[in-house]
Amino acid sequence: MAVFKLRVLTPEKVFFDGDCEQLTAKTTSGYVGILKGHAPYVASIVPSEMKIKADGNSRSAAISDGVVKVSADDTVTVLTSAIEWSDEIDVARAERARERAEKQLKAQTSRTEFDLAERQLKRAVNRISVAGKK
Amino acid sequence: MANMKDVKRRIKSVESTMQITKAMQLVASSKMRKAKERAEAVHPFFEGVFQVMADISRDHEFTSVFTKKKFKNSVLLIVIAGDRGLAGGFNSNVLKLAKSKADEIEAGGGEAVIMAIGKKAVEFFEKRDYKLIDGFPQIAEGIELIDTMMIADKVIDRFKLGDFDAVELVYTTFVSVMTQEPQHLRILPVEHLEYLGEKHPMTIYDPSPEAVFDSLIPEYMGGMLYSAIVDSFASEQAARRTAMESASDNAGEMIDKLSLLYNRARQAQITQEITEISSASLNDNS
Repeated sequence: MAVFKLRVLTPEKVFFDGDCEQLTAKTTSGYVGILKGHAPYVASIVPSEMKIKADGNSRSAAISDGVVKVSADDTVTVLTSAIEWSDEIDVARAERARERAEKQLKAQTSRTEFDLAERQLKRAVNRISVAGKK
Repeated sequence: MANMKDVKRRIKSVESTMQITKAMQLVASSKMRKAKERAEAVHPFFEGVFQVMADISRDHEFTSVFTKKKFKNSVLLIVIAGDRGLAGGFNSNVLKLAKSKADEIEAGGGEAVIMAIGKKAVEFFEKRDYKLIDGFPQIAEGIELIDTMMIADKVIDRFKLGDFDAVELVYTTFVSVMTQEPQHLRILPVEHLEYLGEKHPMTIYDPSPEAVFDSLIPEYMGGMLYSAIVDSFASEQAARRTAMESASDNAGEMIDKLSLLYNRARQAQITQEITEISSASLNDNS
């Protein structure tokens, strides 16, 4: 299968850098699949499951908010603050984050704090649901 | 002539101080190396984020609350300093710059709001008459991106509400092992973005260039804060390493001087004892 160059970057490290056959990501308007030769494209990614298919194998990862960019020269860059392979997710930590966010939501707080807790809850729930997926 | 016992005690105390400064020097240099690696790992991400933002602003005429240049009424200064002292001029240099920037804003009729990161920065602004809205002591050493994303979210929410119309950063950047420089940087509104007419009109933005741009802001800000905190931490360790190195050198010099004094005192005492013995035996013989 034809491959394109994929780079997944976070501020902490280069998460993935290599050839990829197919990238599946969830954007604000739904899931998109990216293959070689895709038109130049930029979209926001929402916390979700992202799939990277390379060497015939597909791997899942839990991604937080981010951006995917397809350049005209057939390279794809994903920029995100946090991403983890599904088999490397610390479920206990994600559960703790979920509990914390839920407690925060129940407490009567200001709107900005409510929004903050809601975003954290979404990320935690996403990590829990992606954990263990192949 | 100096008392031998006293000199010996002083040598011992200087020696134990030197042991501490040497240990601190070693710890600082290993922490510095790690922090430097982390600071360098941010670059590819940051270039990517800035590239997308630059592409959008180059290709489209768009409006965003994050690029609007407003009258500077209220400025948020995010000040990053260390958690501990004994690092030469590290803390005082960066805090001096922060203070002068805050005074500058207030002299111009604006209001400076401070967010302090690092125990020394929090203490500095608590003691003085500045508007400190938030303090984060003791977070720089095991900092994770999630912590800075949370701070960034808070700042962005308040920026959108109009609590302040500019966000600036004051921190120390790591130039080399020997030099670290205090820096002042504008984060919001985003600068250095220009509209140069549509060059890549083929690019599809989903859902829209504005939405993509705005959704990138938290990543931009969180990444920037993270890199500044890690950079500042590396600088702090480098400054401490240099300070401790010169302290160890000074201690070594002091020990040399004191040993000389000690040997002299010892020699004087032996000479005196011999004189006493010989004069005593002379008296016996006579």
